[in-house]
Amino acid sequence: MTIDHYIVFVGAGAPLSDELYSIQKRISKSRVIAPAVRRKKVGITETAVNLASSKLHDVLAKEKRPSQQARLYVWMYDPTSVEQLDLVWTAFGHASWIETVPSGYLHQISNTRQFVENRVRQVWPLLHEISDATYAQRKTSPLALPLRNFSSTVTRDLKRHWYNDLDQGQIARQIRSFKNRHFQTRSKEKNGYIDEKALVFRPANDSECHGKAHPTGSQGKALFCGRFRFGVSLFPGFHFDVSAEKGSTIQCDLRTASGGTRSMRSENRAYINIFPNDFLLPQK
Amino acid sequence: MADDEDIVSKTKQLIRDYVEEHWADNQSACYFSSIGVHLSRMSPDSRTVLSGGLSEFLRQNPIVRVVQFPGVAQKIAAVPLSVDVPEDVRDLFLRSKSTIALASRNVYIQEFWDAFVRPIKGSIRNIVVDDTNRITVHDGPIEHETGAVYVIEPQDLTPNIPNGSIADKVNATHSIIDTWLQKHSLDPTTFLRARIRRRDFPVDNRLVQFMNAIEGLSPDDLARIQLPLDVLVKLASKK
Repeated sequence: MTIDHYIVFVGAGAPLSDELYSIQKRISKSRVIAPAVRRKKVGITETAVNLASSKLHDVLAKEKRPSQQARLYVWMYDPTSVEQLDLVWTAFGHASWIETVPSGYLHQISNTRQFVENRVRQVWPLLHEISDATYAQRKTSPLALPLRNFSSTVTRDLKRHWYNDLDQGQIARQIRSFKNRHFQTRSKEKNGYIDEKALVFRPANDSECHGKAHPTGSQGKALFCGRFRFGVSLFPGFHFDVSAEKGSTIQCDLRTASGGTRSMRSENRAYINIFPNDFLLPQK
Repeated sequence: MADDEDIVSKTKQLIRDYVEEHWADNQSACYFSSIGVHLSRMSPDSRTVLSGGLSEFLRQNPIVRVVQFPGVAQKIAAVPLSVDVPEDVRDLFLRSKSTIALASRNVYIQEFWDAFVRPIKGSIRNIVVDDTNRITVHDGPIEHETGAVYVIEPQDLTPNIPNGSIADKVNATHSIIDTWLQKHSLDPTTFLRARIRRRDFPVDNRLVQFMNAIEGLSPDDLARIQLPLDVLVKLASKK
């Protein structure tokens, strides 16, 4: 069975974890990933975030035919410090749709499950808007851009929690605004978009989406980021052909899917493929 | 640009520290207006990343919890993430200890207060208190003294605080006046504004006055007054 809804809960205790798994019976084609942590580690702790992240990686890695309508939600109770929010953001970041359960639901297991269940349904139309821009309009919208390598004010804004607290209309307006700003970087002559480092990002044609459908890199996060963007599926194999705006070879440093840096100066490459999760192909 | 990222992280840190400090001192929500003044004072560059407004910035960077007073759009404030927001957020807007302390401060006669705020025309300013404790302010030398005269010199005026909020200016003026009063060994009560007392007489007397006023009306006027029956019963029982 293909999974359409991956519902991850970070920092659940054993009773809440059991309760959350019952969502799978209520929402069709859903898979709950709510690994229980020890009582002392309940809440947004490093252990809880790492555990949820590795469980999600295991589940996604086993999927042979991932659904193109799949959605990825990450849940947690309201963070009580900025560090907690940063932990979750660093682990799942822009791959997932991050939601919080109000702290008033702490220790209310059944109410928490109900809240998540109801909210997931409310989020569907919002994700539909995101999917439209990320999947269907991937060649003109900035939502599928490799956020580490495409330097622009739009990608900097996209790295933040930009969809937080927005309704469907506001999300649609926000995406329109991103698209309009991104359009200003378009070069008709180069048939692509030029970033602040003078690199031309040409969206690949559908026939060019060859090779690995979702290059995974060496880290778990690269797998999430290659499969999802803001909680919706990315087009398999979609990437950008990147070349220098001026000059025959790329002469700058590029960021890799694992967060490292790759210097292109000695490689004498005229172009390189960069996937939305910043996976660089060919590899060094 | 990397500069923008630096400004964003600096602004986030400033907001977070300020809201946490405010909560630690007052146990109340920190108003956006107060955060705005703090940011413009500590980091004028933050304006560049706050072009969409503080509310929008905090929506995308949820480093504090934003609370909105029900029904009053202007009353918007922030509390640290560690604070449990109660169902009735009005509790978070209760006056802080420092505000209560401010409210219990002396309230001076407006002319006396202004004498420490407005620039002096000339070299000195004189405050004259006559026999009936009436206060007048004169800039320059006085020809005929009609009471006690006290001098305010330019250094006695409230200093200009660049980017200071109204609260900062009020605090500075209070401090300047306290120093000036001590220098001249004066009793502050001479310069206080008479407080308006709303309830100068007991409730019973007010009821008697109300009943007397009603009894003085003509039957036609009385026929036009409509009072709920339970209120009439209560009035009758108190009469």
